[in-house]
Amino acid sequence: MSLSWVLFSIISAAAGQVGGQTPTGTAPVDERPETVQDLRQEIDRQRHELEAVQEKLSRLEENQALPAGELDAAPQHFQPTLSFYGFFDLTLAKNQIRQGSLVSINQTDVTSFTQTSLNFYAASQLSEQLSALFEFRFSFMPQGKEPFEGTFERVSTEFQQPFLGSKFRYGSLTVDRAHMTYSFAGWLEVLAGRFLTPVGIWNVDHGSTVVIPMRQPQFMWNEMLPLAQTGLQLRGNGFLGRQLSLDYALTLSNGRGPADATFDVDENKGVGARLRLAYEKQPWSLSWGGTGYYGEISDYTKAVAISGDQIAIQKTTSFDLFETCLATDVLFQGRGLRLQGEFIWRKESAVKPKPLGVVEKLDTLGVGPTTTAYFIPSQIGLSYYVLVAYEIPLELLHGVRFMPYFQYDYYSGADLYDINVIHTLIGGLNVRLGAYAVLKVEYNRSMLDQEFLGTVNIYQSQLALAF
Amino acid sequence: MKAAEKEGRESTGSVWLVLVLGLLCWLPALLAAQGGQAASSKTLPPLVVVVSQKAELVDLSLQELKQIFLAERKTLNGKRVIPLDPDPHTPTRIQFDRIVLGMTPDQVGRYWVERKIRGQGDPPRTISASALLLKIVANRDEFISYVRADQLVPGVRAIRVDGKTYQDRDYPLQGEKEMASP
Repeated sequence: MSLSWVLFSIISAAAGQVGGQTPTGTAPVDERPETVQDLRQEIDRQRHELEAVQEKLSRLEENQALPAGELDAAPQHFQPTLSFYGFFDLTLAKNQIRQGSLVSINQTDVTSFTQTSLNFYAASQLSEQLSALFEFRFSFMPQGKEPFEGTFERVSTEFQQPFLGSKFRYGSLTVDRAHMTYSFAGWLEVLAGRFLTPVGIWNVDHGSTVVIPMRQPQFMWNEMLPLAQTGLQLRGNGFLGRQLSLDYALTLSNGRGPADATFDVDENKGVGARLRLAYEKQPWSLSWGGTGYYGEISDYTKAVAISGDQIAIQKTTSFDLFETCLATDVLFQGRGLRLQGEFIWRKESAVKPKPLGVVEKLDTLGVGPTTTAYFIPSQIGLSYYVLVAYEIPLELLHGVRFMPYFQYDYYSGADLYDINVIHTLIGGLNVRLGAYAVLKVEYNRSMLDQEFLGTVNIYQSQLALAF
Repeated sequence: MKAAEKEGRESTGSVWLVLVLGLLCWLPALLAAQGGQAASSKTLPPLVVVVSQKAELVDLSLQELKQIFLAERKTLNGKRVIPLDPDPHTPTRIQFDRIVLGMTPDQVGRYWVERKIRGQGDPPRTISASALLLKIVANRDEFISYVRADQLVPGVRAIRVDGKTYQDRDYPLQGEKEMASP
């Protein structure tokens, strides 16, 4: 019995050694000279056949025209293109407003779904140098807007079809930008039309799928400088070495006014300039930018004056002021970390002060002082924010990534009552669902200095999608 | 009885001896078979950055390459440069994006979505067939693209990257291992 087992083990060992020598498990090769010679001849024959086929294939490739579909797709000669894309979002928000706070005048405290962005782009590349870009913003407003001018009134845009009887509520369309761009070189491009003011980071990013927090910084909300202009822009970039680049932009426009997208109400044009330096050394990058803007804001009324047989148009300036804005921005990022900040300083010099119409209305409620009219004096405003975000280096299924963020925002847009001092703390989480979608959850605490305004807590979540 | 017990114990011991010996003898065979699988995995050829034979460009840094393919740079030495990409889901494209752009395919997609939202232009044109891609690059001086070194054809040439040719040992776009299917 034992001997059998030993014999078995010896045979087994021998088999294992043979198996180790032939890893593919094939049968041993017959190494007789005649067989090797035959095999060599066969290999030679097949090699010659292969070379002949390859030569034939090369000749065919040279002589054969490419399929028409592939030629059309090939950018050998420039072909104009037109593309459509955009982004939109759905937000669920709850404002927690203190009882009796005047913030309730134009903010709701009811949990609501809302769509704040529905932007549609049309972009055309007409030649290698000439392109056009249009960005439209659709909105369901002004339906439901609740302007408060002393008495409550909600805007209704509802109308009824005369024959079908069905009801509709019309919304609105704004043109965020519409401009053409001619590119002479990388360092010189000319934009003409309506363009976003080249300032900072937020105004350039501006899309809900791009920006990190859900709400605009206070300086944008309060338009401390024009966010869009109609006119001309020169811009370009250049490289100072392999890692350092410089961007610039110069703007000339109608500036700001009651109808600046359509016409200017004064002869003074708004002028602006921007410089941005960017340094990149993998995996880190740092950019620092500075922007300046100077312009006049005015308005007038017109009246027809008839005196005998003389007709005259009387044009009366309602208000006239000059604004100077200086802004700076910093962005530091790498390895998932993002540190971002913007600072704005604005000086408003009144030649003829702007009347503060809302205060006149508040007088009727016995809220403000009892004098009849107020004017906004020359003033200086300040605002800045600091944002810290970190994209956690953990990618779940289908590219899901997490980015917690925190932001502090300070705004002081001095006015008659110094009511507009706001401290805002924001904490949130962005969940990236691939390249096109992002889910945001955010808590926003805005602390307004004045007692009759108080603190507002905002709880909100948003799903934003680029298409 | 004792003799039977003794024989039983010896038999059990022999079984274990056989099993262990057998395992030890088959182990080289198993290891050789594994080594055979590793030996069959091949290394892909290096990535080469190609321009037309008529183009003047001979050398680019990785940083400049990144700037061109991220549309941050449109000219080089005063001359216009137009990048072309292969299909996004190919190993060639994935490797290039990882080494040169420092991005995964998802991050590349996100980068271009954000640029379009900002109004900063479109990504490079994508040409799926490498033969067509090379034909197009050969046709005009401005075009620049990348393929595997074994795909080079007359009409295009590979340029140096960070001063290195693709035959150099420390060339930054070396090919990666591709495991053979079992």
